[in-house]
This record gives sequence, structure tokens and C-alpha cells, in this order.
Amino acid sequence: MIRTPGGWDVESALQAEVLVVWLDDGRLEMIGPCGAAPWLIELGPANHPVAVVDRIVRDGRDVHAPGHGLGASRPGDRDGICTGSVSFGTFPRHRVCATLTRIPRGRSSPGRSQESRVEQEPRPAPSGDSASQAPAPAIATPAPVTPAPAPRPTTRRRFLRYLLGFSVVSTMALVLAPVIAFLVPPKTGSAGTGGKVSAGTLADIPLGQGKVVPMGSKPTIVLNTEQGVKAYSAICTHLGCIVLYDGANGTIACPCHDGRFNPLTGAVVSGPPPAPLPTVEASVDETTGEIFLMEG
Amino acid sequence: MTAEIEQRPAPEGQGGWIEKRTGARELMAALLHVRIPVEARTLYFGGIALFLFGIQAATGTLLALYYKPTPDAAYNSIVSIMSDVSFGWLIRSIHHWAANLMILFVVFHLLRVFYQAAFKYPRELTWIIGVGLLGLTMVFGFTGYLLPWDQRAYWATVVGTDIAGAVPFIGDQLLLLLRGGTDVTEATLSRFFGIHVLVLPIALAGILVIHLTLVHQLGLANPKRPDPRDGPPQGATKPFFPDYILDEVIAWYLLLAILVVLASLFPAGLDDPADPLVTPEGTKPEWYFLGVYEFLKLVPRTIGILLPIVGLLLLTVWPFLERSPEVLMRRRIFVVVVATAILVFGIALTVVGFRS
Amino acid sequence: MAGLRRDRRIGLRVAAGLLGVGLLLVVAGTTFAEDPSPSPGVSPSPSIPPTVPGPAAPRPIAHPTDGSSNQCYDCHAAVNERQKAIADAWQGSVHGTGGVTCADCHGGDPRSDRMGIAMDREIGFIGTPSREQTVGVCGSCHSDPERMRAYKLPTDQYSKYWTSVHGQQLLTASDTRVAICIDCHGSHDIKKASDPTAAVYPPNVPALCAGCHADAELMEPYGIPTDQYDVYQRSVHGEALLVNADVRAPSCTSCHGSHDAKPPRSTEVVEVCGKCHTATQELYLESRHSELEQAAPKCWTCHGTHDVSQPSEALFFHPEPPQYLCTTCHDLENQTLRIELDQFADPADRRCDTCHHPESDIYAQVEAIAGSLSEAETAYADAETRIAEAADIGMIVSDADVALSEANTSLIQAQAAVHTTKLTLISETAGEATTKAESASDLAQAKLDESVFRRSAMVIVVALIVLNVVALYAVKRYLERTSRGSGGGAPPA
Repeated sequence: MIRTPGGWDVESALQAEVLVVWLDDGRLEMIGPCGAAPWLIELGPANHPVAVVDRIVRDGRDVHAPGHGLGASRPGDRDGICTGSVSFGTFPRHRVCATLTRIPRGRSSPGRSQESRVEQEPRPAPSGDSASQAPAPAIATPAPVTPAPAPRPTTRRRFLRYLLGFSVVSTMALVLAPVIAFLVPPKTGSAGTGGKVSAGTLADIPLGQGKVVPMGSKPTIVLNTEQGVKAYSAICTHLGCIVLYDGANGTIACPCHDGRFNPLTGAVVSGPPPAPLPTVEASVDETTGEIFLMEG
Repeated sequence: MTAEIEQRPAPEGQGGWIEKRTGARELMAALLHVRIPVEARTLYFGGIALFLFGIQAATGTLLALYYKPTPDAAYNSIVSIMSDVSFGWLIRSIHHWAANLMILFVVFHLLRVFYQAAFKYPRELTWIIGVGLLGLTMVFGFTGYLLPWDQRAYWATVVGTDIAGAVPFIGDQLLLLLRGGTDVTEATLSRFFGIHVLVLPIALAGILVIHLTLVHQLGLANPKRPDPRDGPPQGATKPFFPDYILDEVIAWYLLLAILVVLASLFPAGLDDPADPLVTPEGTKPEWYFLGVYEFLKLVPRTIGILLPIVGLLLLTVWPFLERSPEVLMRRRIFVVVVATAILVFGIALTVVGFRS
Repeated sequence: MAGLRRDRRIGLRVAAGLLGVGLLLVVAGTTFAEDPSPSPGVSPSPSIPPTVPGPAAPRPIAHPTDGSSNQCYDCHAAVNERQKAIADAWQGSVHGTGGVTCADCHGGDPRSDRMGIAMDREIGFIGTPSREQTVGVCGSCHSDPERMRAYKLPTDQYSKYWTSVHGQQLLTASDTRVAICIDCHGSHDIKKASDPTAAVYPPNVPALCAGCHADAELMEPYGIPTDQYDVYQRSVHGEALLVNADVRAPSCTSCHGSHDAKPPRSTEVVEVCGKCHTATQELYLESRHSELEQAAPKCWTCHGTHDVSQPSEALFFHPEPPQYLCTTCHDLENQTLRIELDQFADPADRRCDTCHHPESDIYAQVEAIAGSLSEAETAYADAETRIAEAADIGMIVSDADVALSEANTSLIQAQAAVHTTKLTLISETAGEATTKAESASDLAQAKLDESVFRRSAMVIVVALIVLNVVALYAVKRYLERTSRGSGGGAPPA
């Protein structure tokens, strides 16, 4: 919401343009209405920048083009509508202005580059004002640059700038490091194999034999039987020992208490186990003979 | 100073590379260079909730790169995230804690707005949308809870959807819709995953944008003085940027520290894999539903379901029920006392739920 | 005088007869009866008294029948409360529902409701059979394969009964206080053994036997101890059967037999225990102990009889070296080695070093066995604690759990291998268990280290965040300072 300064009447279609003025190292910088080129205003030792800009704002002067003097208003002809335009400045660092007594005022350095020189247009007589009126400031001289010390941000400000920079960089590092590590796929585990774990090949487990393989965190017993490759959880349902294959009498046996399971179905054949071994789905790749166990 | 860095244009022309190609400076200025009342005391709760949503979106996206949404693979994918993936435990634990904290802070934010009567003119719409956001956040929590597919998740979902099924008239259809069938199965998991990862983020983000736009448009409420109906609010202001923003960012940093501590000391846990045939003892929903759950045990089922729903509706339209322009707490004692009583009751029920 | 002489002659004959019978009884009693206070584990004496063969099964009681009437029931159900209870009990029993009627056991004529006809002793009514008669009454049907075929019931109970201690006492000493069929199975209220309310349902069996065998007064004439039920209840077997209702656990009859109840001899013990503990029996038979002729420790030497408890490494040595007397190992009478089971009656004495003196050659082997096993058990316990620690602080320990199961498998095998008394085998298996337990412990330790790392990282990260907060706060203060005095508010208009 744009607030008009007190005392302004709006009688016709209004186009407002905003100039942004700020104080930087003892000189005022202003963004013009038609672009971003800064207009530089040189201040004399007795110039109060607030008063200066105030005067600029109050004076309704034509502005022909950026860089051609300063004005506060000009008749505009935008989009075929005849408008009057009002320009005024805002002070994002107004509080800074209040501390101007502490900032050395003097001839400011004429600017950082030649292109930003503002061409001089003789200023018309300032409108009569209160006692705060000071002699007209010398506005942006295109004349030879008086050498002045290059603008140096104060040490405190520099320190704070570093502090903020450090803050931003360290936060980003803190956040990005684990994220990037997270994105790199892990070498171990079954995270990315689509739920299938390789249990060797048919060559490893000849017909009539069996082997216990670790499948993630679950030991599984894989058997090569006449009815194909069978796989079961190798955790005995009695007291949790790891079973093995007893080729001599063709059963899955638990060495702890001699429980026995049927290798074709996992059912209990004899001994203390109360329940059959859960089946694990196994498939064999035809070409390579590799045995895959499905997780889950 | 940062402002100066930003606003300092490139020496060679009218504006920097980005500025020339986006014209963003004006927009940023419009968004940031607003003013807020000096008496505003948001306690930064809303901002924290926003921050946590950002965290959730980021960690959730990362988790979705490894999570597998089928009953066979879900559990093991979570185990893998916790044990095999670098910092997987951190991302998942942060996601877990930020979820709980987000719900907590959304509730805190609602309470702050309520007690400061910041929902009154002209912010009634903002309030209604905010209640909607609270609802969305709770649905986020509910749908996300199922995804690990362990015993706790599975049975809490069974209990939760059972309660939904007890809603009069539409209960059965609602149950079918939620579960994708009569029981909690892989259909439920797919459904919850899609809702949690696609539907809700888009919905929440969209509605959040509206909420934030309204906040921007209307500015922050003044807890000492209601907004007049016939003009802009009077009173001293201070700039949003950088004063308020700095405080907000500090609060976010502190939240980040809390999240890191919680995630490191209390990593997200995992129960046994879900077994539809074995009901564990003491199944109960997550803490944010515990209050309603305990309430259901005290009163007949229909009342237990309807009363919270009616309560929620009342809460939503509250700005149109409490129409006086008073914003000071001592001028709305009755409302404040009743609301506090209900709040204390809800907290007591939740505590009881914890103990049981 | 002739009358007196005749009296005297009669008296002499009677006395001689009595003497003869008495002698017979004494001889039978001492020779054929079992030792009244059997102490199992007495070294097999060369002369085991042979069991007296029981009589052949009698024929079932013949009685007239028309296939359907059972007037006995109709009358007796109306006589008085007690009779009614008996009659109803019969009706609900296996016999009642199976068509075995009153006359099948008691004889008589079930067609008539007139006492004179129905309960006529002339036609075979025997009333309440005596205790000796009862065995025959039951056995008359139950030992007949043809009759029992339809019910798939065994038919060896009768013949087995006579070999039991109960049967032999009844046979040779006419001791009617021993258990007969009806004492365990009931008389009119017989139920199937699989019926959980039956007295002979396996978990109910110990209480049934204890009904007599825990009664001090009843057992006093036989000198049998009466604490078995008490002790059994506290044993591993008792807990499994009585508390967990695990019907695989042994009751009294599993080891003593049911119809052929007799305490197992030391030669039979290994087979009896090995019926369930098959793997252990196999291992034991590989051992030196099983080869010994004299003084051979059996299962019950170390594990007890009724008071079988969970074995542990405490079974190896006494905490303090025990007292060794000559009689500890030697029978001074015939200078043989011997083991008396009552030496091991006190569980504190069930140790290897009760027999193996510390200064014997074999002691080093015992020590080595104990050492390797305790090493494995310590490693296992250590791994368990560490895994619990890691799980407590929230780490996922499933891989360590699996390694622990593998270690457990090896540990159980090592513990079982002790029965072989072979040091190489035992230390090999125990060594495997130790290695596996150590790798499980390492996995858990890795989790603990990871947790420590996470906490340190957390501290660093939080410190960094605090630094950031301080930086931002400094910026805030700077900005506040530089704006002080401006009074805030709207820009100058």
C-alpha cells in the first residue's frame, strides 16, 4: 500500500514513480524512474541530505531523461493517457539519516564510474522554505573528479558482513553435506536391488544339497531338490537356532535339539519344533543359473 | 547492509544480470518492505510451522527416493534407510520429529491467534484457511504414520479408520474410501502413500500460499488494538525487513538445533513388521489423536464422534460467532476462560491416553 | 483221649499248613517282591528278582440281554441321591455312551426290574467286585483285541499291569491298597484320556499319582518317599507340563510307565530319557561315561530325577572343593568302584568333581572342558548385553541379532557336546560359539560407536547453529543501535 505524504491531493489519474534514495558512504544515491542508473548528488558540508531530497521531491521539475538533472515530476504520456506524475523518494534507511552527525559529511567521492556521472543542469531557484534551507547543494559535478579516498566500509560493518556470510555459508554446508551423502546410493544392503538377493548359482548348490545364505538380516536355507530350488527361513521355529541341511538322510535338521523339517515343504517331520519353516520365494535365472531370493 | 548489497546495481548499466532478466527487485521490495505494528507478538509460531513444512518437504522428498510403497518391501526399505543409507537415520529421524513438532506448532499458532483475537476483522478468511491447514497437517500425520508398515503403524491405522467408520450416515463409505477396501491392505498403503506424497503437499502448498498472501495483504494483527473498519490501521510500526525477519530466522535456527538434538538422541524407531493376524496389546493412535480417542471411551460412540466434528466446525466459523471488536483478553474473559477449559480438558485426555 | 489226640492232629496240620503258607509268603515276599524302598541307581545287582507272571485274562461276565433294556439304571437312578449320582455318572461316561452297561461289569439280568431276578448271584451277578476281581473285570474286555478293534484301543494294559509294582504287590502280597484300574480311570465316570477333565489327561497325571504317593501315611509301610510331586512341580518338566500345559513334557507315566509303572533301572535310564532327548542320547553314547561298566554316571546322576532343572555351568565344579572319602568312590565290601544315586541326591553334589578328584589325571580335561564352555557363555552374555545396550539407545540391531542367533546355535551345540566328554570336540564347538558371539558383539559395538559419533556430530552441529544465532543476533543489535534515536515510525513526509 503506497502512502502519499501529507498534503497531496490527487485530482487526476495518477502515475506514481518511486525513486529510491539511500545514503552510502556520505553520498546520496538514487535510482531514477526510468532505469537503474544511480544519480549521484554531491553534498556540501552544510547540506543535510534529507533537506536536499526533500527539496528535490517538492520541486516539480521536469525530468527529461535519466542523467539529465533531477526533477520531481514531469508530465507523462504513458499508454496514450495524459497523466501527471508524482515522484517522491523513500528512505529505507531513514534511521541511518538520523545518525548522520556521526558519519563524516564532506565532499563525497564523485562516484565509482564515469558513466554514472549525472550531467549538470542548472537548478532553478529553490522554492522558499523554512530555516532549514541551506545553500543549494552542488549537484553532481561532471567536472574533474577531486581525488578522495576510496570508500571504505567501516570495520564494524565489514565484520558484520563477514559474519552474515559465514552464517549463510555454514548453514548451507551443514544442510547440504548430509543431503548429498544421503543421495549417494549405499554400497551395502539391499536398498536398490528391487527386493531380490542373489544366493549364488546352481553350481554352488548341486542337486541334493543345501546351503544357508544371509539375506539381509535373515538367514535363509537354500536347497536344490528334485522339485526345483526351495528356500526357507533358516531360523528354527523351536528356539531360534540356525538350521542346516542334513544330506545323509535328506532332511533339514536343527542341530540344537534335533528338530527335522521336510526339505520339499518346510513342514516339521520330527522333534520339538512346533511350526513349519516359513517359505522364501526363490527363482532361478535360466541363462546364468543364478538363484534369486525375494525379500519381504 | 544486505539491502545495500542487493540493491547495489551493476556499474555497467541499469540493473544486474538477474534483475534485467527477471525484474525481481520490485517484487522483492514489495514483499519485504512492509511494516508491522510494534506491539505485534506473533511468538514466531506461524513462521516456525512454515519452516517445519519446508523441512518436511525436503526430508520427505529425500526419503521418497529410497522408500518402497508396497507391504512386502516397505518395512525393509525403511530398515535399509536407517542402516545402509548415509545419514538415512538422520533424514528419517528429522522427518519423524519435524512431523510431531509441526503439528504442535500449528496448534500453538492457532492458540496464539485465538488468544490475541487476531482472527477478527479483517482476518476472518485467514483464520478459516488456517483451520483448514491444521486439518491438512493432521491428515499428513495420519497418512504418513502408516508408511513404515510395522505393527504400530498398521494397527494404529486400523483403529483410526475404525473411528472414521463410526461417523454417522457416511461412516461406511468413508471407511471404504480411506482404506481402499474393507480392511487395511496394500490398497490402503498405496492410497495413503499417494495422498501423503502428492495430494497433500500440493494442497497444503496451494492453500498455504493463499494464507501467506492474505497475511501479507492484511499485515500482522495488533494484539492491543483491533483494525478499524474505515481506514488503515493507525499506530506505530516497525519494518518487517530486517527486524522481524531476523528474529524469525533466529527462531528457525533454534528449531533446527532442537530437531538435530532430537534426531540424534531419539532416532525414529521401528516395531516388528506388520502382521494382520496378530494384534499387539495397547494399540492406540498417535498423540495428536489420543485426546479424541480417550474422549470416545468416556461417552457414547455417536456423541464421541459428533462432538469433535461439531467443535471443529465451530472453531472454523468462530470469527463470525465472536463478532465484538474487542481484542484484549481481559475484555473477552468469558471466551478465553471457556477456551482454556476446553484446552486443559483436551490436554488431560491426551495425558490419560499416554498413561493407559 | 482220642478226641484230644484228634484235636491235636488237626491242630498240627493246621499249624503246618499255616507255617507252610507263611513260609511261602515270606519267601515270595522277600524274593519276588520289589525292594520296598527302591533306590534307583544301585549298581545293577546280579540278581534281579524275576516278576511273577500274572494270571490270564478272565472271560467277560456273561449275562442275559435283549440288546436294549437296562433296568439296572432305571431302578438305581431312583433309589437315592448317591445311587442316582453313580447312575448318571455312568450315563455320561465313555462306557455309558458306548453301550457298555451295568451288567457287563456287575453281571445280573438287566432285562428285569425285580431285584431278585436282576441281582441274582446264581445267574452271575457279582455285586461290587473286590479289588482283585476288578482288574480281571476290566481286563476281560480290554485285553481282547477283537473287542477293542472297533475302538482302536490297545490291549496290553492287563498284561502290563501285572508286571508293574502295583500289580506285583497285588499278586504276591494281596496288597489291596495298591492302585488298580479304577483308582486312576474311575469306575462309573470313566472318560477318554484325551478329555482335559479326565484324571489321566497328561497334565492331570502328576496330581493323580500324587493322590497316593504324596500321602505320607499311605506310603509309610513301603518306605517310599512322598516328596516327588512337590519336587516335580518345581522342575523344568513340571513347569512345562503343569504351568505351560505343554503335552510334550513328561508326566510320571512318561518315565515310570502307566500300566507297567515301575521306576526305571539304571540300565534303562538313558533309553528312558533318550526317548525325547534323542540328540543328547546319541552324544552320550559316544562318551567314555557310557562305556563304563562300573560307576557309570547316567542322566540322572547329574540332572536329577524328579527335580530336573535347567543345566548350567555350575554343574562342573563345587564352589569349594568337596570332602573326599574312600567310600565316595569305592565300595569297601567288594572293593569296586561304585556310584550311589543318593550321593547325588543333593543338587549341590551333582558336579563333575564329586567323582573326579582335583589331583587326578582326568581333572585337567574336565577343567579344559569347563573353561572352553564358560568362555563361550561369557562371550555370548557379553554380546547379548551389548546388543541390548545398542537397542536401548534406538539403533537398529537386526544384523547383530542374527549373528547372535548363530552364536546361540553353536553355543547350544557346545553345551550338548559336553555329554560326549570329548575335549577336542567340545572345545572346537565352544570355540566356534565364542567366535560367533564375538562377531555379534562387534556388530553391536559398531552401532554403539556410531551412536557416539552421532552425538559428537550433534554437539558440533548445535554449536555451529548457536554461532549462527549469535551472528544474527549481533546483526540485529547493530541494526537496532544504528536506528536508535530515529524513533522509528513513518518516514519523514
